Amino acid sequence: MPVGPGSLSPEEEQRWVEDFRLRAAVRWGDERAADIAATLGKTAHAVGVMMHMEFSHDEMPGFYLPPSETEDGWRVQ
Amino acid sequence: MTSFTDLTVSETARAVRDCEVSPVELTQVLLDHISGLDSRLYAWETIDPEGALAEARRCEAAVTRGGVLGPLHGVPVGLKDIYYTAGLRTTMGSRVYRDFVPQQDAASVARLRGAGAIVLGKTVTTEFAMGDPPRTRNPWNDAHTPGGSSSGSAVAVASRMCAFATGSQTAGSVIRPAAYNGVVGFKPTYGRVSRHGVFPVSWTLDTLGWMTRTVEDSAVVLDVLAGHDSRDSGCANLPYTSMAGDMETEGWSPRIGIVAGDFERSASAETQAHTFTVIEALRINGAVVELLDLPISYLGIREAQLVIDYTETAAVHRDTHATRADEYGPNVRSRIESGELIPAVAYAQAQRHRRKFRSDMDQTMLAVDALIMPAATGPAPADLSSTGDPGFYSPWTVAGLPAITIPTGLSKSGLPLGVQLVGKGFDDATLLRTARWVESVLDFDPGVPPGARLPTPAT
Repeated sequence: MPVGPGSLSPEEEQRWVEDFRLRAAVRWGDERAADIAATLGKTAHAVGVMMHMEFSHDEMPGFYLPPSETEDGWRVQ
Repeated sequence: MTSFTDLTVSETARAVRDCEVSPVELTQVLLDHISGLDSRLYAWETIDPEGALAEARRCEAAVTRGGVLGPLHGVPVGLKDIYYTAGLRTTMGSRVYRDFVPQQDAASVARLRGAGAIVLGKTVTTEFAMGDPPRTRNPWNDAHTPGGSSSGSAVAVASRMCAFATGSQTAGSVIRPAAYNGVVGFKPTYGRVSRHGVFPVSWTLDTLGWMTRTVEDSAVVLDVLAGHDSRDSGCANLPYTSMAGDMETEGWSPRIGIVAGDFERSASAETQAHTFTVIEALRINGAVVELLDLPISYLGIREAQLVIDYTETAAVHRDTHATRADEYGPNVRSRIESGELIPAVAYAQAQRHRRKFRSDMDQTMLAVDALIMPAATGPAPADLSSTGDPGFYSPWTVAGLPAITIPTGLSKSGLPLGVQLVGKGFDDATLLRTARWVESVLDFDPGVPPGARLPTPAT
Protein backbone atom coordinates (compact mmCIF):
# COMPACT_ATOMS: atom_id res chain seq x y z
CA MET A 1 0.00 0.00 0.00
CA PRO A 2 1.17 3.56 -0.53
CA VAL A 3 2.66 5.11 2.59
CA GLY A 4 1.14 8.56 1.99
CA PRO A 5 0.58 11.20 -0.71
CA GLY A 6 3.59 11.49 -2.95
CA SER A 7 5.28 8.29 -1.88
CA LEU A 8 5.07 4.53 -2.31
CA SER A 9 5.95 1.64 -0.05
CA PRO A 10 8.93 -0.46 -1.23
CA GLU A 11 6.49 -3.21 -2.24
CA GLU A 12 4.37 -0.83 -4.33
CA GLU A 13 7.48 0.67 -5.86
CA GLN A 14 8.69 -2.78 -6.88
CA ARG A 15 5.28 -3.69 -8.31
CA TRP A 16 5.20 -0.60 -10.51
CA VAL A 17 8.78 -1.09 -11.67
CA GLU A 18 7.97 -4.66 -12.67
CA ASP A 19 4.76 -3.49 -14.35
CA PHE A 20 6.73 -1.03 -16.46
CA ARG A 21 9.48 -3.53 -17.27
CA LEU A 22 6.79 -5.86 -18.65
CA ARG A 23 5.06 -3.08 -20.58
CA ALA A 24 8.41 -2.09 -22.11
CA ALA A 25 9.32 -5.68 -22.96
CA VAL A 26 6.02 -6.13 -24.81
CA ARG A 27 6.20 -2.77 -26.60
CA TRP A 28 9.94 -2.41 -27.27
CA GLY A 29 11.46 -5.86 -26.58
CA ASP A 30 13.55 -7.22 -23.70
CA GLU A 31 16.81 -5.72 -24.86
CA ARG A 32 15.42 -2.21 -25.19
CA ALA A 33 13.58 -2.55 -21.89
CA ALA A 34 16.92 -3.31 -20.24
CA ASP A 35 18.58 -0.35 -22.01
CA ILE A 36 16.05 2.13 -20.67
CA ALA A 37 15.64 0.57 -17.22
CA ALA A 38 16.69 3.73 -15.35
CA THR A 39 14.12 5.94 -17.10
CA LEU A 40 11.49 3.22 -16.80
CA GLY A 41 12.13 3.11 -13.05
CA LYS A 42 11.61 6.87 -12.66
CA THR A 43 8.49 6.73 -14.79
CA ALA A 44 7.11 3.74 -12.89
CA HIS A 45 7.58 5.56 -9.59
CA ALA A 46 5.84 8.70 -10.84
CA VAL A 47 2.96 6.73 -12.34
CA GLY A 48 2.57 4.73 -9.12
CA VAL A 49 2.35 7.93 -7.10
CA MET A 50 -0.27 9.38 -9.45
CA MET A 51 -2.34 6.20 -9.46
CA HIS A 52 -2.55 6.31 -5.67
CA MET A 53 -3.68 9.95 -5.50
CA GLU A 54 -7.22 10.40 -4.24
CA PHE A 55 -9.53 13.09 -5.60
CA SER A 56 -13.17 13.97 -5.25
CA HIS A 57 -15.26 13.78 -8.41
CA ASP A 58 -15.40 17.53 -8.85
CA GLU A 59 -11.60 17.80 -8.94
CA MET A 60 -11.27 17.82 -12.71
CA PRO A 61 -8.16 17.72 -14.84
CA GLY A 62 -9.05 21.12 -16.25
CA PHE A 63 -5.79 22.88 -15.75
CA TYR A 64 -4.71 22.35 -19.31
CA LEU A 65 -7.73 24.18 -20.71
CA PRO A 66 -6.61 27.30 -22.45
CA PRO A 67 -6.77 30.00 -19.79
CA SER A 68 -8.66 32.23 -22.19
CA GLU A 69 -11.57 29.81 -22.04
CA THR A 70 -11.92 30.00 -18.27
CA GLU A 71 -13.48 32.73 -16.21
CA ASP A 72 -10.50 33.72 -14.08
CA GLY A 73 -7.79 32.42 -16.30
CA TRP A 74 -7.36 29.05 -14.68
CA ARG A 75 -10.44 27.59 -13.04
CA VAL A 76 -13.63 26.28 -14.51
CA GLN A 77 -16.31 27.75 -12.29
CA MET B 1 33.45 53.76 -19.67
CA THR B 2 31.29 50.73 -20.44
CA SER B 3 32.54 48.15 -22.86
CA PHE B 4 30.15 47.26 -25.67
CA THR B 5 30.08 43.71 -24.40
CA ASP B 6 29.00 44.85 -20.93
CA LEU B 7 26.02 46.90 -22.11
CA THR B 8 22.66 45.70 -20.80
CA VAL B 9 19.50 45.62 -22.88
CA SER B 10 18.24 48.90 -21.45
CA GLU B 11 21.62 50.60 -21.79
CA THR B 12 21.95 49.43 -25.39
CA ALA B 13 18.48 50.61 -26.37
CA ARG B 14 19.08 54.02 -24.77
CA ALA B 15 22.54 54.40 -26.31
CA VAL B 16 21.29 53.45 -29.79
CA ARG B 17 18.32 55.79 -29.49
CA ASP B 18 20.62 58.63 -28.41
CA CYS B 19 23.07 57.89 -31.26
CA GLU B 20 25.83 57.09 -28.76
CA VAL B 21 26.26 53.56 -30.08
CA SER B 22 26.13 52.38 -33.67
CA PRO B 23 24.13 49.14 -34.00
CA VAL B 24 26.49 48.05 -36.78
CA GLU B 25 29.58 48.63 -34.67
CA LEU B 26 27.99 46.96 -31.63
CA THR B 27 26.91 43.93 -33.65
CA GLN B 28 30.37 43.55 -35.14
CA VAL B 29 32.00 43.76 -31.69
CA LEU B 30 29.68 41.05 -30.35
CA LEU B 31 30.26 38.84 -33.41
CA ASP B 32 34.03 39.22 -32.90
CA HIS B 33 33.62 38.43 -29.20
CA ILE B 34 31.64 35.30 -30.07
CA SER B 35 34.24 34.35 -32.62
CA GLY B 36 36.98 34.65 -29.99
CA LEU B 37 35.21 32.59 -27.36
CA ASP B 38 32.92 30.09 -28.95
CA SER B 39 35.54 27.55 -29.95
CA ARG B 40 35.91 26.99 -26.18
CA LEU B 41 32.39 27.63 -24.86
CA TYR B 42 30.16 26.27 -27.67
CA ALA B 43 27.23 28.51 -26.81
CA TRP B 44 26.07 28.86 -30.43
CA GLU B 45 24.56 26.33 -32.78
CA THR B 46 24.38 28.76 -35.71
CA ILE B 47 25.84 32.25 -35.95
CA ASP B 48 24.38 34.54 -38.63
CA PRO B 49 26.89 37.36 -39.20
CA GLU B 50 25.48 38.41 -42.58
CA GLY B 51 21.87 38.49 -41.38
CA ALA B 52 22.78 40.24 -38.12
CA LEU B 53 24.87 42.92 -39.82
CA ALA B 54 22.21 43.51 -42.48
CA GLU B 55 19.64 43.99 -39.72
CA ALA B 56 22.04 46.25 -37.83
CA ARG B 57 22.46 48.43 -40.89
CA ARG B 58 18.67 48.73 -41.22
CA CYS B 59 18.51 49.70 -37.52
CA GLU B 60 21.19 52.30 -37.99
CA ALA B 61 19.40 53.77 -40.99
CA ALA B 62 16.18 53.98 -38.99
CA VAL B 63 17.97 55.88 -36.21
CA THR B 64 19.43 58.27 -38.73
CA ARG B 65 16.00 58.83 -40.32
CA GLY B 66 14.46 59.55 -36.92
CA GLY B 67 10.94 58.60 -35.88
CA VAL B 68 9.57 56.00 -33.53
CA LEU B 69 11.94 53.20 -32.54
CA GLY B 70 10.99 49.97 -30.82
CA PRO B 71 12.00 49.25 -27.21
CA LEU B 72 14.69 46.81 -28.36
CA HIS B 73 15.90 48.86 -31.30
CA GLY B 74 19.47 47.82 -32.09
CA VAL B 75 19.71 45.26 -29.27
CA PRO B 76 21.40 42.00 -30.38
CA VAL B 77 19.82 38.77 -29.17
CA GLY B 78 20.54 35.04 -29.16
CA LEU B 79 17.63 32.65 -29.75
CA LYS B 80 17.45 29.14 -28.31
CA ASP B 81 17.61 26.76 -31.23
CA ILE B 82 14.02 25.58 -30.85
CA TYR B 83 12.62 29.01 -31.86
CA TYR B 84 11.72 29.00 -35.56
CA THR B 85 13.63 31.60 -37.57
CA ALA B 86 12.67 32.23 -41.18
CA GLY B 87 15.53 31.24 -43.46
CA LEU B 88 17.86 30.36 -40.58
CA ARG B 89 18.55 26.74 -39.65
CA THR B 90 16.70 25.53 -36.55
CA THR B 91 17.93 22.14 -35.35
CA MET B 92 16.26 21.58 -31.97
CA GLY B 93 19.75 20.34 -31.03
CA SER B 94 18.88 17.15 -32.86
CA ARG B 95 20.11 14.97 -35.71
CA VAL B 96 16.51 14.59 -36.85
CA TYR B 97 16.21 18.32 -37.66
CA ARG B 98 19.86 19.06 -38.40
CA ASP B 99 19.01 20.58 -41.81
CA PHE B 100 15.62 22.11 -41.02
CA VAL B 101 15.17 25.70 -42.19
CA PRO B 102 11.78 27.20 -41.17
CA GLN B 103 9.88 29.36 -43.59
CA GLN B 104 8.57 31.66 -40.88
CA ASP B 105 9.55 33.17 -37.56
CA ALA B 106 8.06 32.03 -34.27
CA ALA B 107 5.52 34.53 -32.93
CA SER B 108 8.00 35.59 -30.23
CA VAL B 109 10.80 36.06 -32.77
CA ALA B 110 8.51 38.21 -34.91
CA ARG B 111 7.72 40.33 -31.85
CA LEU B 112 11.41 40.71 -30.99
CA ARG B 113 12.27 41.71 -34.55
CA GLY B 114 9.29 44.07 -34.57
CA ALA B 115 10.67 45.75 -31.45
CA GLY B 116 14.01 46.26 -33.22
CA ALA B 117 16.08 43.35 -31.90
CA ILE B 118 18.94 42.03 -34.04
CA VAL B 119 19.18 38.23 -34.23
CA LEU B 120 22.83 37.18 -33.87
CA GLY B 121 22.05 33.50 -34.28
CA LYS B 122 20.80 30.40 -32.54
CA THR B 123 22.08 29.25 -29.17
CA VAL B 124 22.74 25.65 -28.24
CA THR B 125 19.90 23.67 -26.73
CA THR B 126 20.12 20.19 -25.36
CA GLU B 127 18.54 17.73 -27.79
CA PHE B 128 14.85 18.65 -28.12
CA ALA B 129 15.26 20.78 -24.96
CA MET B 130 15.51 17.67 -22.78
CA GLY B 131 18.21 16.11 -20.64
CA ASP B 132 21.05 14.86 -22.83
CA PRO B 133 24.04 17.04 -21.94
CA PRO B 134 25.08 19.71 -24.47
CA ARG B 135 28.58 20.43 -25.77
CA THR B 136 28.32 23.93 -24.24
CA ARG B 137 30.81 24.70 -21.48
CA ASN B 138 30.32 26.68 -18.27
CA PRO B 139 32.50 29.82 -18.48
CA TRP B 140 32.98 29.82 -14.70
CA ASN B 141 34.61 26.40 -14.76
CA ASP B 142 34.44 24.11 -17.75
CA ALA B 143 34.52 20.98 -15.60
CA HIS B 144 31.07 21.93 -14.31
CA THR B 145 27.81 21.64 -16.22
CA PRO B 146 26.34 24.83 -17.71
CA GLY B 147 22.90 23.43 -16.95
CA GLY B 148 20.18 23.02 -19.53
CA SER B 149 18.25 22.86 -21.60
CA SER B 150 18.75 26.54 -22.48
CA SER B 151 22.50 26.02 -22.06
CA GLY B 152 23.83 28.20 -24.87
CA SER B 153 21.58 31.15 -23.98
CA ALA B 154 22.76 31.22 -20.36
CA VAL B 155 26.43 30.94 -21.34
CA ALA B 156 26.08 33.55 -24.10
CA VAL B 157 24.62 36.12 -21.68
CA ALA B 158 27.09 35.32 -18.88
CA SER B 159 30.00 35.57 -21.33
CA ARG B 160 28.87 38.94 -22.70
CA MET B 161 28.19 37.58 -26.18
CA CYS B 162 24.78 39.28 -26.01
CA ALA B 163 22.75 41.15 -23.40
CA PHE B 164 19.82 38.78 -23.62
CA ALA B 165 18.92 35.42 -25.03
CA THR B 166 15.77 33.36 -25.11
CA GLY B 167 15.06 30.02 -23.49
CA SER B 168 12.17 27.77 -22.57
CA GLN B 169 11.23 25.81 -19.48
CA THR B 170 9.33 22.54 -19.11
CA ALA B 171 10.83 21.71 -15.70
CA GLY B 172 13.83 23.97 -14.93
CA SER B 173 15.40 24.79 -18.28
CA VAL B 174 15.58 28.57 -17.84
CA ILE B 175 16.13 29.06 -14.10
CA ARG B 176 18.73 26.29 -13.64
CA PRO B 177 21.19 27.26 -16.41
CA ALA B 178 20.76 30.93 -15.48
CA ALA B 179 21.66 30.11 -11.87
CA TYR B 180 24.63 27.94 -12.87
CA ASN B 181 26.02 30.76 -15.02
CA GLY B 182 25.35 33.73 -12.74
CA VAL B 183 22.74 35.58 -14.80
CA VAL B 184 19.12 36.61 -14.31
CA GLY B 185 16.70 33.98 -15.64
CA PHE B 186 12.98 34.73 -15.91
CA LYS B 187 10.09 32.40 -16.68
CA PRO B 188 6.76 34.26 -16.88
CA THR B 189 3.37 32.82 -15.97
CA TYR B 190 2.24 29.97 -18.25
CA GLY B 191 0.00 31.58 -20.83
CA ARG B 192 1.64 35.03 -20.87
CA VAL B 193 3.79 34.56 -23.97
CA SER B 194 2.89 32.82 -27.22
CA ARG B 195 4.77 29.63 -28.01
CA HIS B 196 3.60 29.54 -31.62
CA GLY B 197 6.58 28.46 -33.71
CA VAL B 198 8.63 27.11 -30.83
CA PHE B 199 9.20 23.35 -31.00
CA PRO B 200 7.32 21.70 -28.11
CA VAL B 201 8.55 19.42 -25.36
CA SER B 202 5.25 19.21 -23.49
CA TRP B 203 2.39 21.51 -24.52
CA THR B 204 0.77 21.97 -21.13
CA LEU B 205 4.09 22.69 -19.39
CA ASP B 206 6.30 24.55 -21.88
CA THR B 207 6.81 28.21 -21.03
CA LEU B 208 9.10 30.61 -22.84
CA GLY B 209 11.60 32.56 -20.77
CA TRP B 210 14.87 34.45 -21.16
CA MET B 211 18.22 35.30 -19.67
CA THR B 212 19.46 38.83 -19.03
CA ARG B 213 21.98 40.43 -16.69
CA THR B 214 19.49 42.67 -14.86
CA VAL B 215 15.90 42.35 -13.65
CA GLU B 216 14.98 45.57 -15.46
CA ASP B 217 16.03 43.96 -18.74
CA SER B 218 13.79 40.97 -18.07
CA ALA B 219 10.85 43.35 -17.64
CA VAL B 220 11.69 45.15 -20.88
CA VAL B 221 11.64 41.84 -22.76
CA LEU B 222 8.36 40.79 -21.13
CA ASP B 223 6.78 44.04 -22.27
CA VAL B 224 7.66 43.08 -25.83
CA LEU B 225 6.64 39.42 -25.68
CA ALA B 226 3.53 39.38 -23.48
CA GLY B 227 0.19 39.21 -25.23
CA HIS B 228 -2.54 36.94 -26.52
CA ASP B 229 -2.04 34.81 -29.61
CA SER B 230 -4.91 32.63 -30.79
CA ARG B 231 -2.43 30.35 -32.57
CA ASP B 232 -1.22 29.08 -29.16
CA SER B 233 -4.14 27.39 -27.38
CA GLY B 234 -2.37 27.83 -24.03
CA CYS B 235 -1.91 31.57 -24.46
CA ALA B 236 -4.15 33.57 -22.13
CA ASN B 237 -6.47 36.24 -23.38
CA LEU B 238 -5.96 38.37 -20.30
CA PRO B 239 -5.01 42.04 -20.09
CA TYR B 240 -1.35 42.88 -19.71
CA THR B 241 -0.14 46.19 -18.37
CA SER B 242 3.25 47.38 -19.56
CA MET B 243 5.84 47.54 -16.82
CA ALA B 244 7.96 50.21 -18.45
CA GLY B 245 8.50 52.84 -15.78
CA ASP B 246 6.90 50.69 -13.07
CA MET B 247 10.09 49.16 -11.71
CA GLU B 248 10.67 51.87 -9.12
CA THR B 249 11.11 50.33 -5.68
CA GLU B 250 11.99 53.47 -3.70
CA GLY B 251 9.99 53.55 -0.47
CA TRP B 252 8.57 50.07 -1.07
CA SER B 253 9.59 46.72 0.33
CA PRO B 254 8.12 43.30 -0.38
CA ARG B 255 6.52 40.57 1.70
CA ILE B 256 8.49 37.41 1.11
CA GLY B 257 7.62 33.84 2.08
CA ILE B 258 10.47 31.47 2.86
CA VAL B 259 10.02 27.98 1.48
CA ALA B 260 12.01 25.56 3.58
CA GLY B 261 11.25 21.82 3.74
CA ASP B 262 12.62 19.97 0.70
CA PHE B 263 14.36 23.07 -0.56
CA GLU B 264 16.37 23.50 2.63
CA ARG B 265 17.10 19.82 3.11
CA SER B 266 18.23 19.26 -0.47
CA ALA B 267 20.56 22.27 -0.56
CA SER B 268 24.26 21.96 0.24
CA ALA B 269 25.45 23.39 3.56
CA GLU B 270 27.14 26.26 1.73
CA THR B 271 23.96 27.05 -0.22
CA GLN B 272 21.84 26.90 2.92
CA ALA B 273 24.16 29.30 4.74
CA HIS B 274 24.29 31.64 1.75
CA THR B 275 20.51 31.69 1.38
CA PHE B 276 20.14 32.45 5.08
CA THR B 277 22.56 35.37 4.73
CA VAL B 278 20.60 36.71 1.75
CA ILE B 279 17.26 36.45 3.56
CA GLU B 280 18.69 38.18 6.61
CA ALA B 281 19.95 41.03 4.42
CA LEU B 282 16.50 41.41 2.89
CA ARG B 283 14.87 41.46 6.32
CA ILE B 284 17.29 44.05 7.65
CA ASN B 285 16.53 46.23 4.63
CA GLY B 286 12.80 46.19 5.24
CA ALA B 287 11.31 43.07 3.70
CA VAL B 288 8.60 41.36 5.73
CA VAL B 289 9.86 37.79 5.81
CA GLU B 290 7.88 34.82 7.04
CA LEU B 291 8.14 31.06 6.89
CA LEU B 292 5.46 29.53 4.66
CA ASP B 293 4.20 25.97 4.70
CA LEU B 294 3.55 24.49 1.29
CA PRO B 295 0.16 22.80 0.83
CA ILE B 296 -0.25 19.03 1.13
CA SER B 297 -0.75 18.88 -2.63
CA TYR B 298 2.94 19.77 -2.98
CA LEU B 299 3.56 16.09 -2.23
CA GLY B 300 3.74 14.25 -5.52
CA ILE B 301 3.89 17.38 -7.66
CA ARG B 302 7.28 16.47 -9.15
CA GLU B 303 5.87 13.09 -10.11
CA ALA B 304 2.89 14.84 -11.73
CA GLN B 305 5.32 16.94 -13.78
CA LEU B 306 7.18 13.85 -14.96
CA VAL B 307 4.01 11.99 -15.96
CA ILE B 308 2.68 14.98 -17.94
CA ASP B 309 6.06 15.76 -19.48
CA TYR B 310 6.86 12.21 -20.60
CA THR B 311 3.34 11.50 -21.90
CA GLU B 312 3.21 14.65 -24.00
CA THR B 313 6.80 14.16 -25.19
CA ALA B 314 5.86 10.69 -26.43
CA ALA B 315 2.92 12.19 -28.31
CA VAL B 316 5.03 14.99 -29.84
CA HIS B 317 7.63 12.53 -31.16
CA ARG B 318 5.39 9.58 -31.94
CA ASP B 319 5.62 9.75 -35.73
CA THR B 320 9.29 10.67 -35.97
CA HIS B 321 10.40 8.13 -33.39
CA ALA B 322 8.54 5.39 -35.27
CA THR B 323 10.82 5.78 -38.27
CA ARG B 324 13.99 7.46 -36.98
CA ALA B 325 14.51 6.15 -33.44
CA ASP B 326 18.24 5.60 -33.99
CA GLU B 327 18.75 9.31 -34.61
CA TYR B 328 17.65 10.25 -31.09
CA GLY B 329 20.07 10.62 -28.18
CA PRO B 330 19.75 8.09 -25.33
CA ASN B 331 17.95 10.36 -22.89
CA VAL B 332 15.34 11.65 -25.33
CA ARG B 333 14.73 8.20 -26.79
CA SER B 334 14.25 6.56 -23.40
CA ARG B 335 11.84 9.35 -22.39
CA ILE B 336 9.76 8.84 -25.51
CA GLU B 337 9.72 5.08 -25.08
CA SER B 338 8.85 5.28 -21.37
CA GLY B 339 6.28 8.00 -21.96
CA GLU B 340 4.41 5.88 -24.48
CA LEU B 341 3.78 3.28 -21.75
CA ILE B 342 2.12 5.65 -19.27
CA PRO B 343 -1.55 4.75 -18.64
CA ALA B 344 -4.09 7.40 -19.62
CA VAL B 345 -5.49 7.34 -16.08
CA ALA B 346 -2.11 8.34 -14.65
CA TYR B 347 -1.96 11.30 -17.04
CA ALA B 348 -5.46 12.41 -16.04
CA GLN B 349 -4.56 12.02 -12.36
CA ALA B 350 -1.44 14.12 -12.88
CA GLN B 351 -3.48 16.90 -14.50
CA ARG B 352 -5.98 16.78 -11.62
CA HIS B 353 -3.15 16.90 -9.09
CA ARG B 354 -1.51 19.79 -10.83
CA ARG B 355 -4.74 21.79 -10.83
CA LYS B 356 -5.23 21.17 -7.12
CA PHE B 357 -1.67 22.27 -6.39
CA ARG B 358 -2.10 25.46 -8.40
CA SER B 359 -5.35 26.24 -6.62
CA ASP B 360 -3.77 25.57 -3.23
CA MET B 361 -0.75 27.73 -4.12
CA ASP B 362 -3.04 30.63 -5.02
CA GLN B 363 -4.32 30.52 -1.43
CA THR B 364 -0.88 29.96 0.11
CA MET B 365 0.54 33.00 -1.63
CA LEU B 366 -2.20 35.45 -0.69
CA ALA B 367 -0.12 36.80 2.18
CA VAL B 368 3.11 37.39 0.25
CA ASP B 369 4.45 39.03 -2.89
CA ALA B 370 6.86 36.20 -3.66
CA LEU B 371 8.41 33.01 -2.35
CA ILE B 372 12.16 32.71 -1.90
CA MET B 373 14.41 29.66 -1.98
CA PRO B 374 17.90 28.76 -3.20
CA ALA B 375 18.24 28.90 -6.98
CA ALA B 376 19.66 25.38 -6.99
CA THR B 377 20.79 22.68 -4.58
CA GLY B 378 24.29 24.11 -4.93
CA PRO B 379 26.56 25.65 -7.55
CA ALA B 380 26.82 23.94 -10.96
CA PRO B 381 27.78 20.30 -10.32
CA ALA B 382 31.13 18.95 -11.53
CA ASP B 383 29.32 16.45 -13.73
CA LEU B 384 29.18 16.86 -17.50
CA SER B 385 26.96 13.81 -17.95
CA SER B 386 23.89 15.67 -16.64
CA THR B 387 22.42 19.17 -16.72
CA GLY B 388 21.59 19.14 -13.01
CA ASP B 389 18.60 18.48 -10.79
CA PRO B 390 15.26 19.99 -11.90
CA GLY B 391 13.58 19.46 -8.53
CA PHE B 392 13.75 23.11 -7.40
CA TYR B 393 11.84 24.30 -10.47
CA SER B 394 9.38 21.66 -11.65
CA PRO B 395 6.76 22.41 -8.93
CA TRP B 396 6.49 26.04 -10.08
CA THR B 397 6.52 25.15 -13.77
CA VAL B 398 3.79 22.56 -13.32
CA ALA B 399 1.74 25.17 -11.43
CA GLY B 400 2.31 27.72 -14.19
CA LEU B 401 3.66 30.26 -11.70
CA PRO B 402 6.22 32.89 -12.73
CA ALA B 403 9.76 32.46 -11.41
CA ILE B 404 13.04 34.35 -11.57
CA THR B 405 16.59 33.71 -10.41
CA ILE B 406 19.07 36.40 -9.44
CA PRO B 407 22.80 35.87 -8.84
CA THR B 408 23.59 36.67 -5.21
CA GLY B 409 27.13 35.49 -4.59
CA LEU B 410 29.97 33.15 -5.46
CA SER B 411 30.75 29.84 -3.82
CA LYS B 412 34.10 29.03 -2.22
CA SER B 413 34.94 27.29 -5.49
CA GLY B 414 34.22 30.50 -7.43
CA LEU B 415 30.92 29.41 -8.99
CA PRO B 416 27.72 31.49 -8.98
CA LEU B 417 25.11 31.12 -6.26
CA GLY B 418 21.66 32.64 -6.41
CA VAL B 419 18.13 32.72 -5.14
CA GLN B 420 14.90 31.85 -6.90
CA LEU B 421 11.77 33.95 -6.39
CA VAL B 422 8.34 32.62 -7.33
CA GLY B 423 5.32 34.86 -7.87
CA LYS B 424 1.57 34.64 -8.20
CA GLY B 425 -0.02 33.56 -11.45
CA PHE B 426 -0.46 36.43 -13.93
CA ASP B 427 1.14 38.82 -11.45
CA ASP B 428 4.51 38.84 -13.15
CA ALA B 429 4.77 42.56 -12.42
CA THR B 430 4.88 42.09 -8.64
CA LEU B 431 7.41 39.29 -8.99
CA LEU B 432 9.68 41.44 -11.15
CA ARG B 433 9.29 44.40 -8.82
CA THR B 434 10.23 42.19 -5.87
CA ALA B 435 13.20 40.84 -7.79
CA ARG B 436 14.28 44.37 -8.68
CA TRP B 437 14.09 45.29 -4.99
CA VAL B 438 16.16 42.24 -3.99
CA GLU B 439 18.69 43.02 -6.69
CA SER B 440 19.08 46.61 -5.53
CA VAL B 441 19.36 45.68 -1.84
CA LEU B 442 22.02 43.02 -2.44
CA ASP B 443 23.84 45.05 -5.13
CA PHE B 444 25.83 42.00 -6.23
CA ASP B 445 27.54 41.74 -9.60
CA PRO B 446 29.11 38.37 -10.37
CA GLY B 447 31.34 40.02 -12.98
CA VAL B 448 32.75 38.45 -16.11
CA PRO B 449 33.36 34.68 -15.81
CA PRO B 450 37.03 33.67 -16.08
CA GLY B 451 36.31 31.66 -19.22
CA ALA B 452 34.87 34.70 -20.99
CA ARG B 453 37.67 37.21 -20.54
CA LEU B 454 39.06 38.61 -23.76
CA PRO B 455 40.24 42.15 -24.48
CA THR B 456 37.35 44.06 -26.10
CA PRO B 457 37.07 47.52 -27.60
CA ALA B 458 35.54 50.20 -25.39
CA THR B 459 32.98 52.85 -26.29
